[in-house]
Amino acid sequence: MPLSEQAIRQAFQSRGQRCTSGCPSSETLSRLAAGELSETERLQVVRSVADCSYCAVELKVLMETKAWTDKASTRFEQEPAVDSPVRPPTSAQPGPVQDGGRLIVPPPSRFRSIVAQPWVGALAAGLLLLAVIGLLASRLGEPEDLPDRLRSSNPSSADLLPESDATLEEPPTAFAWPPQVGATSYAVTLYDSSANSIWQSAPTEESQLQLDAQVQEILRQSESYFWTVNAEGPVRQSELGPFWFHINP
Amino acid sequence: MSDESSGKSTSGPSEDGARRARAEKQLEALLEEYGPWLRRTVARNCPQNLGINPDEVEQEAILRLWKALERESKLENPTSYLYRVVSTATIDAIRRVRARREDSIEPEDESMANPQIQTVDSSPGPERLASSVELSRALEASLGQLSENRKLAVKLHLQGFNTREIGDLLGWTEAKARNLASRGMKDLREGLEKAGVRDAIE
Repeated sequence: MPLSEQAIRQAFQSRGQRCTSGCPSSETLSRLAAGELSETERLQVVRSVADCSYCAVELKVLMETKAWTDKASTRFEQEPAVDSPVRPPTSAQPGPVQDGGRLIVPPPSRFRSIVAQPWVGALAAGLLLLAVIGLLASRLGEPEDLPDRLRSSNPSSADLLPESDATLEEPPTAFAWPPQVGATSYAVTLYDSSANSIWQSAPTEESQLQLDAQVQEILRQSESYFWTVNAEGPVRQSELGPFWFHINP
Repeated sequence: MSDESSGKSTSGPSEDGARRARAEKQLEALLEEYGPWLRRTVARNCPQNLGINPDEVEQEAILRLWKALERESKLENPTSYLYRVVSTATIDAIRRVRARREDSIEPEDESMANPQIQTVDSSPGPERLASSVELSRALEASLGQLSENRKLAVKLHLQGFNTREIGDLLGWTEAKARNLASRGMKDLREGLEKAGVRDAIE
């Protein structure tokens, strides 16, 4: 019987081999994960890491941290009008546009053939109008002192169930959040206080969902949790939260 | 004021005080905006199985941030700098834990020193040890037969990186990384089979 991949992996990692000329510093690994090393440096460090299980574990941690940072950074730095569902490419920048790592328009040729259709202009204008109305409506409930770049991902606590940072006597029975313009479905992910994902809902069209007894039972095991809502639309995706809640033991 | 004997510039107490006050103010503003994110990032990315205290890592990251603010008048890209302080503080914490363990644990207890190693049998008999050494040798020999790119892709794959990560690390497309890792693994298996270590540790 041939060796399983797990057996090969275990044997490879068990060799106890370390970087031949000393492990790279945390700063170097951090720069590697951020893509900031020159090609020569990068290859040198990657070759070393490929043999060293210690550095490999560390580099994985750094790459996950980087991905998480980039995601947060995108949310921090994007323009306030993030709920605008249509962002067509300009002629100077044709083709797919990355928005938070996600494609928001079709490839160029397909896009050009679509925009040539007469109904597209009317549809785009309609969507734009809806987006503006939605944006204005969602702004009405927000506190004035909230920094602009945080507005889109932090709806007012009063619009949430449970409220952000609420302290509850019992696990919540439902989650609710403000509807997002252009969103066609939502999915809620629940995390424990160490940010481990412990439950994810099935997609729902409603901006609320009920928690079944099984999930509530899970929530009795600790005190603090947070949840996020992933809003999916035909052209873009956005994330609300995280919203914390605490349960009295 | 400058210290001519050492060649380093120094500053007077009032300048130091002003710089410190400015750094504290900037730190406060940064933490107000990014503090919750910093806490979540540390909590999420600190390895759970090494006994690292995320609060200590967070404090260390904040300290490094403060020092950076004292050194530099303005951080051009705060999120980039936050990534840097969180990541280096996390890795240094991992290394400190490992160093402590290596100092206190018997050298042969590798499963404690290396979190990725999971030993099935804690007291391997001579036969198991022999087959493990044999497999290790065959593995080295088979890896040595692979072309440079396939070898690199296979090693990273065996270290647990997925093909997207391998591509990112080596400047390849994901398709190229997948292709090289997959063909490299096939070659590696064939090499091991030729060496007669088919199910040596099964």
